[in-house]
Amino acid sequence: MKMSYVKKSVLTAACIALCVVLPMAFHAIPNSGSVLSPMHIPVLLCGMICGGPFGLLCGLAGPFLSSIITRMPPMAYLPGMMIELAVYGLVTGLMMQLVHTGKIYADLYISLIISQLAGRIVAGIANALIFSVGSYSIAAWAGGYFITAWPGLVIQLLLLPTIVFALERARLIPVRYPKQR
Amino acid sequence: MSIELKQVSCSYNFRTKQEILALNGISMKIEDGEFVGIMGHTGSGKSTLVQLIAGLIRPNSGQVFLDGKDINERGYDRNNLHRQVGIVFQNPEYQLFETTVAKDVAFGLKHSGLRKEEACERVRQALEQMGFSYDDIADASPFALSGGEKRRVAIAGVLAARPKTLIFDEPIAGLDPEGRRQFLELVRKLNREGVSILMVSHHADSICACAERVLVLEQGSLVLDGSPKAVFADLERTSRLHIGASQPRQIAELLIQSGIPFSRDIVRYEDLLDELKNRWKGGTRCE
Amino acid sequence: MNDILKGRYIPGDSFLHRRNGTAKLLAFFMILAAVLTTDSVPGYLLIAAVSAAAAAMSEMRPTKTLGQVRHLRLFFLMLFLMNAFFYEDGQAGGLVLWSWGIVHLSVPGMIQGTHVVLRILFLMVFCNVLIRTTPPVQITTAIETLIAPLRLIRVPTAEVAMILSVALQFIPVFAQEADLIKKAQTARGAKFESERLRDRAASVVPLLVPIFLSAFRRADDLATAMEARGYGHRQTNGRGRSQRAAVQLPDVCLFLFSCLFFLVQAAR
Repeated sequence: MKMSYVKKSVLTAACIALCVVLPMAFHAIPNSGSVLSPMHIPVLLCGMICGGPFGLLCGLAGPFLSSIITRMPPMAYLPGMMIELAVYGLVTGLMMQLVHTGKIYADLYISLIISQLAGRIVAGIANALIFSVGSYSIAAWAGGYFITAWPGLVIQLLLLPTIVFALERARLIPVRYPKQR
Repeated sequence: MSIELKQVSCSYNFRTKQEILALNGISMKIEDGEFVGIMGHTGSGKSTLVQLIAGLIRPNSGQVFLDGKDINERGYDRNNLHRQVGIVFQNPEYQLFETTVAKDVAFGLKHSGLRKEEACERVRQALEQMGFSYDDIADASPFALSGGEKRRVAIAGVLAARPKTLIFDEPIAGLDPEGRRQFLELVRKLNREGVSILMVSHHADSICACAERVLVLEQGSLVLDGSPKAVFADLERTSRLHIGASQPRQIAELLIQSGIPFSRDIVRYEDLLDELKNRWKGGTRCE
Repeated sequence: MNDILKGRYIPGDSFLHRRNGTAKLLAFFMILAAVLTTDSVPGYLLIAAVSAAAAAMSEMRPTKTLGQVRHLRLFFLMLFLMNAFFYEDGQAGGLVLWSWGIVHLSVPGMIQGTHVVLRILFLMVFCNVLIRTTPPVQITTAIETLIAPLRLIRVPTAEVAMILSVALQFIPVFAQEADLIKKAQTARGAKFESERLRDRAASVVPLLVPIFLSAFRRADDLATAMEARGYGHRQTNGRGRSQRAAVQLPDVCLFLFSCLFFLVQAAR
């Protein structure tokens, strides 16, 4: 089973909508926003399932719509966040295409870790440039950004496979490695 | 357990320009073990009412008492509340999330402090109540089940906590006639075992078949409160309130309109049948 | 529940409310460029004047245009300090007040920090004016119009427009469903908070998995319905295109004015 272009488009739309809805749903739960980064999950998932270009679109449109509708993230953070999420969506999509180890866990983890590294580094540099903090501190800024974000990374490594498996079992997305009969 | 509402008002977007009043000064009391049907037009406040009782939203004014205790007071044990009052929403199958059926049903027992064997036993019983064989289904993935099975698993997840009050919000929407019959049988059985039931439904037949008391809401106010017979006595009124009437009641009304003297107390199929049987005997006697 | 889609838009009938979304967005971009090129006191005074004018044209109280700035106090403070302590760009000769390792508290750094903070503050003012006078649907429509030329470099802009409009339709539906799922799990005794990192991940699974499943189920249904009606095969029919307001003379003036503003700032 391969997904049609229309289906990928509509799933991307759903992921964009979730970028707006999830932060709202988690808003009332203390501290969840800062550690959980609920907006990252639909973007990563979109890249994984629909491919890099769709993931890229989701990463750009998700935070943008969320910001104009719910003010999360605040405007000042928006450009950096759009760049970060766009890289996540694009890189996970590409990695899932490139990496085929035969084990879904391995594929997921490799794609997730590489995309998160890429996204955080690019976003760190972008933020440093946007806020023009001076050439010296780019590395410091990027490094700090990376260190503060690592708990979110761990949480996503735990959550994403769970969601992917549930979606596969509910036959809402194609199974990556169908069991041979 | 008894439920009491005192002058409860509730609105969405409270204190903003777009404030919508969902409930307007409702007072009522539901005794232990009652079977109450809740009816009303879309947007009349039915869902808000049951969610208030389940402690899922807070009123803007007024109090909700369970067994005489204000549930919105500071220090009220909310975990206890959630254990005592179970709520099944429309499409409860959307709440499934675990990897196996047994784990999903046991989810509500996680924070209850029950021993493992006791929790396991409750899961088994809840699944069997919903017509499953525990050993067949316990390790299946809930997402691989059919729609009807998913719904029954989800209801089992609420039953496992053994609530003393059970709320159903539009439980029969989307069920086929056989599923509906089985469902109504189940709630009646639970009610006989002493569980208070609150059932929100548009379906007058089901409400008439089970409930001993019907509450009718209109634009956030409680406009009717009485037995099904009393509530459905005046069909003009019920159609104005958008709650319709059960089939037997409509049949009776048609007969009356066509000149046949017939009782307006008929709301259930059993009533209709009894009346017809009486007539049949009476008829043969008369002629 | 459709209220969500109004977002932070405040209904009104001011001069800016009545402007075409595309014109407003273009003007916003020009002003953005103007703000980013500003680095002198008269420049900032001019920006302040323009932002006061924008507030007046949208009939908003000037204080309202600042919006959430209060919540970002720390962010701005950090931004300033980062610049003050780390700014160093080769053009030596700046007065260094204090120095330790790679950390230098310098006068040019403090000036640079002030610039950055001021620019971002003014950007937020203009952004707030835009968002409070333009409903989200109009903003996405404007984006659709603006990205249309990208078709020349083979970006499927019609599809992007379709995806954005479908996403907007999904938002209120998903929000309602997420709310219901949260209530259902709370009633079952779920706890969504936890101290330990691992538990915290586990505690949101009962919320996250059903929300994704129901969202994907709806998306799946819609995709099937769209395919059944023959949508697809990369055709560019009108679906997703929202009604567009006609461009009027004041819209053009607004845009031209913003261009002028940019040129004045850049030429300085």
